[in-house]
Amino acid sequence: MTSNIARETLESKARLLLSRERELYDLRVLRARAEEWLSALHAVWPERFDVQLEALARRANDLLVGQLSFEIAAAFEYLPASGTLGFGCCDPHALPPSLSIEPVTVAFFEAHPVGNYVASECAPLVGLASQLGLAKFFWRWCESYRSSRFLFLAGCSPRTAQFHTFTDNDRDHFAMFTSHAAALLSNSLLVADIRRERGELEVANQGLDVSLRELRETQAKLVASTQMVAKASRQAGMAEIATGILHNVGNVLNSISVCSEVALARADALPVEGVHRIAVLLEEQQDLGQFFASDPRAAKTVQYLDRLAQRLADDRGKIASELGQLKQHLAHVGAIVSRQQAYARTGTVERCSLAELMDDALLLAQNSQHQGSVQISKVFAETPEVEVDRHRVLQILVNLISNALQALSDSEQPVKRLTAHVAPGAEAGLVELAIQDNGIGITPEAGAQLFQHGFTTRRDGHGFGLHTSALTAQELGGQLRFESAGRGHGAKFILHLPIRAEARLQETGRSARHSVQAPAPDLLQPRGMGER
Amino acid sequence: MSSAREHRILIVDDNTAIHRDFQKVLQSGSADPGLDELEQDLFGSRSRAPQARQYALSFASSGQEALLLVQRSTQQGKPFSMAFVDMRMPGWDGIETISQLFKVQPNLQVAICSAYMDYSWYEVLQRLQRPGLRLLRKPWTSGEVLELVHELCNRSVAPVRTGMAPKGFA
Repeated sequence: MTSNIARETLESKARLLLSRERELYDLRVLRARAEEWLSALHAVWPERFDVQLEALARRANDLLVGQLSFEIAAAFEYLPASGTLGFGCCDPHALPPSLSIEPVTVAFFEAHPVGNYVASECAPLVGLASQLGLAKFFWRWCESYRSSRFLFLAGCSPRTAQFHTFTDNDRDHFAMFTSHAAALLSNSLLVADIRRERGELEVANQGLDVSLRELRETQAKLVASTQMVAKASRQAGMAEIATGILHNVGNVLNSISVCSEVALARADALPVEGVHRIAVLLEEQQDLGQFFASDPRAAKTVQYLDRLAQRLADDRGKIASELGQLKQHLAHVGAIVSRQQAYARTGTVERCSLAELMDDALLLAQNSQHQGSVQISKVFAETPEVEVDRHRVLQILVNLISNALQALSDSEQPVKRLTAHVAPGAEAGLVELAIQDNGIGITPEAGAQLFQHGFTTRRDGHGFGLHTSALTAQELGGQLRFESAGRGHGAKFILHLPIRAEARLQETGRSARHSVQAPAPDLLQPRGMGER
Repeated sequence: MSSAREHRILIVDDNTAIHRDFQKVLQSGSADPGLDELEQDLFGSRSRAPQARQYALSFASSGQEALLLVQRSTQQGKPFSMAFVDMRMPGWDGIETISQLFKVQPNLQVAICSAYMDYSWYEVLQRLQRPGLRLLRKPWTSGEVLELVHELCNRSVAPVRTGMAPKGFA
């Protein structure tokens, strides 16, 4: 009895073991198939699969095939445009890549999104079921976020149909899973699209970055070249002053040389020998009374002494005059040199008198004028001292003055006038320095490009002068503008400067000198440029 | 120097101080015949040799002015033998002035006179196509000026050579 019981127990346990093993085997087979389906699905819609869908697939396998009674689980996408069911998740060996689906079938699914297939009750699905090789299955037909539909199926083939009885539990699980999957799939598509869009955005962003970088580089290059131009034109401006000085000094040295030569020649030619000879003649006379009383040479001696005195006085005057000129010329050279030394110190802001600045500029610029042919007048109003880089202001003024002299030299005016103005500015905190001439004037066409780099109306001009001056004025926190009533009506260039250096720093920043920008066009627009 | 009086010289410079400088050198040592005569009578000889230099000088302050003077002088049949022309002048610069003068009087002898040259000497020669041009650097001495005057005034009598010198002007 005991042994019977024991044997029965053993047999039942063995059966159980066998059935468990069989179940296990089946599960492994199903699991392998599910994995194949999933990889097949992956191959068909590669771009639609991501980590979430893999997790979804794993869950599908675990839930629908591994734990529930289903033999087959599948997912399709129905594309209304082509009327086909995209290959989904079904036995990859048994199915074509895509299936045509009848409109009635679609209509049926639309009418019944969820269902349990029973051949007798679902006539429109019979064809599809046979194509897919399914005998019994649950379905879920769901909307995707786009116009396509997803179809989920889980069931069994005719071969195993007799062993499968799907319970409410199976149905509920299928429903739960598919609704979840539909949402996830829909989301994953959305996510994919978002990713794609984000990718496009990123590409666009990168493009934008590249453009921005290029823009920045171009800007840097522009700034660098502007600085170079500014430097070059500053140097040109300095060179202009330097050659002017060379010319000026050369001329003065010439006069000095001639003066000293003339004085020397004159001194050499002084008739001192005559004095000596007349002394010898008189000494030779035994009796001077006799000589003056009777010698015919006596009258001539007096005449000669008189003439000699005149001559000596004349020569002394000439020599003194030459030496006086020499002294003047030397003083002139000294003035040029010391002025140059004063202005060689660049970049230092100091308090200076505008009247003195203007005087110095007039002196420096006059080397190439027709001396005497231009009437220079000064209209200096009372102004406070300004804090400014003398050298740079001087550079501007010298340029303006030599331009004015040039304009006068080119004109037919009977009386050529140059007027230097110093005045308080129209606005508080500003002063004005102006150079006015009645020379050839400026046409509106020339006026429009007057401050441009390289613009010149002179055959030998380099076109740096006004451009540099405008830049320099701006760097000093001021501005340069001009007025001209047109050709033949003269011109007036006005330099506005701030009285205090800090005002300039606030406006343009301390690094203004290092980041020279081209002058803003509105600063350079001529005022009062109409056809007056 | 015996022909000094026959030579007319044109000075072109915007700086009138330079005009005076030329005048001092080329019109100097005014003779004093009365004194000379008295010396002859009293001592039987003259104590100093008179150094009269009397060239006929004309002055222009600009290229345009110079051109007018040259035109007038050729019309009157009393052309200039030579001209000293400054390089750096307002209006026409030295080069422009000289080329204008050459158009009117091709045989004019010219010395360019400048403290600072905006052009290299080679450029000057290339632009004016005159190998016979001379350069007088400021500051000059009276000796240099007199030498140039002597040379160029004598040359002005000889036929004019034109065209570039083949070499040696770089």
